[in-house]
Amino acid sequence: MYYVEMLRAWRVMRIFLIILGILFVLAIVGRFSGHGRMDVANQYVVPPNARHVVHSVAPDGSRMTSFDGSNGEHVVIRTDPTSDVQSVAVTEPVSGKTRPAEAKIANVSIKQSRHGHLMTTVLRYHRIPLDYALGIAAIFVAIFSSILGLGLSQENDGHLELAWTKPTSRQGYAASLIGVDILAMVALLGITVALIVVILAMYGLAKLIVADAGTLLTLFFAFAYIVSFYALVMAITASLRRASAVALAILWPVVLILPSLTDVKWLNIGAIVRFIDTINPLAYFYSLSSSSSHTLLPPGIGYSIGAMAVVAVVGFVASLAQWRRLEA
Amino acid sequence: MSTISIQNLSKSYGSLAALTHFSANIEQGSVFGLLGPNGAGKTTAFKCMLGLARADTGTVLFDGAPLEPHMFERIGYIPERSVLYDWMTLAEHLEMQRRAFSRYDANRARELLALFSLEPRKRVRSLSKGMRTAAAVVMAFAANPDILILDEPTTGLDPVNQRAVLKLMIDASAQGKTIIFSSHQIGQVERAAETIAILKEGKLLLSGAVDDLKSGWKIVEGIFESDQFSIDGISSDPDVQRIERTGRILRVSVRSDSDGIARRMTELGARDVRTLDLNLEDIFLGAVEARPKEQSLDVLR
Repeated sequence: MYYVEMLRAWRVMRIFLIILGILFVLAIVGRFSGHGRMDVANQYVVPPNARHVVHSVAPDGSRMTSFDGSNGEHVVIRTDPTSDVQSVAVTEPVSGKTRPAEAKIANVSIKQSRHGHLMTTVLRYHRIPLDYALGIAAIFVAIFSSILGLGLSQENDGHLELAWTKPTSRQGYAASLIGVDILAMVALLGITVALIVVILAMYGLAKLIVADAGTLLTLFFAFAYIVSFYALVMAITASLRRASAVALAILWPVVLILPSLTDVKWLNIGAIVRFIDTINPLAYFYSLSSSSSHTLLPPGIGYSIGAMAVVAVVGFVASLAQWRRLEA
Repeated sequence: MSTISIQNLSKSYGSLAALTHFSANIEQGSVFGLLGPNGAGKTTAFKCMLGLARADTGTVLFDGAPLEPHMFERIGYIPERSVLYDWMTLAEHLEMQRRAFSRYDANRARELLALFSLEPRKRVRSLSKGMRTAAAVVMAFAANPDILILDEPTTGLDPVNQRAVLKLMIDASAQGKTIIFSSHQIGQVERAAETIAILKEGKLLLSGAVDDLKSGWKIVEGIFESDQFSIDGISSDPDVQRIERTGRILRVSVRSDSDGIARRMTELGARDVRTLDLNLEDIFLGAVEARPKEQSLDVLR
């Protein structure tokens, strides 16, 4: 029963693989046309007028370079042996009375000591969490999943007699269709993430990629995001025929714009949008990159995953209910 | 599983009664022809039988049991219009069937492809209407079902392929398979069907064995000198079912006393009066055009 959907998913996936292929070729061209390898080692160049330059190796294997600058600052460059991530610590004397203070902004930390010294540490080359790759891939695959979400409506567009005269129930047929699509989405997600990693590696940034326990949560988020989007499209279009493509063309701009309207106070539009956005998977994606929520739920990846799982389940139930009621 | 019992099947689309209290019993190994003008309810009847449309009332039993999804293993269906996927090749459609039906016969599929000169690598979108019909026939027969429900299975086919489909149906029936089909080609139905039902505007007008329907009925045909002739004593005859007047020719469908009508025609001035056996077309036209004879005559005049 899954054969037709397998062919259909492959037909759509080929287009996305071609897009990925084009991006990969462009990355290769970029790599060999001047931008070159972004080697993270030896990025910080010791100035020519530096004094007391000392190269050493710390007990943990880190390569250390220290020198005094022309303005009286003392600079220590520490290079991690495994990732080549550099931290550059600049300690400079400060005139007048000072009190201990500490601040951290992005990859810069500033520490002021009681003794009139200000140490500024810049972590050069942030690590690249795999989460970023998952996020980018999830957006890409969401487009794919929204097209696959038209599966039931495409069956409804003149093929029900063929679909429903197979020795399987309507629910069984729909379940196999959904199963194939989910496998295709997962495969494309994996391929896209792998390609991003390969491109980063080509540019010599592979060592900076990190994954931790949070990455697993992001993986769940990405999966919930693409599946909920798929289920949402399916629920909206299951009873439609050719109009399903129009519905999808309208849906995309709507889900993209809605989260940006949650702060509109005029006519209480923000509250209404927040309510609608609770079933908008893209709103959870917006929430992922900010500390505020665009839905009725509080911010947090856990809430987002849970909500999207509910959207997916409700979407599938609504789709199946429509599918069962259709007539050829 | 082959005896099909249809009881009191009705289906409406809004205010339109597409099918009204349709009943029929179809025996295993028989060929059942469903006839009717366009919009008679034939396709609706098939769809309700197969659960593709929800009947408002009535039951359909296959060997005494209501239709369940697993029974489609033994039911082949060719819809009235092409439902194939335009973007798939014929080979992919057959692969779909192979995966879906455990009784699928790949050798049979190859034979049938050759019979209809179909190229399996072609995409459906590149096939003509007739070739799509032929492809649907190949798919249905290759699945080796016990029951074949064929809704106008010769649509768009050339006479050679129409004949081939008809032969497939007759051969399948000879092997004990049950065939239910509809067609506008009454000659085909007459050749293949043992029993028929005639529908009009969703209502069953007539049903029974073709031989039984024909027996006792005759056609009396006479040619007059001019097209101005009287039919006194013919139109009032209670045994006359239908009178067809075309120019100088008078054609009368009559039960039992055909000799009496022939004599009366001669008395009225007809020459070349002859008595013929009723054919299925006469039965069909008699049923779907049935109206009071005088009214029928008015229309025919």
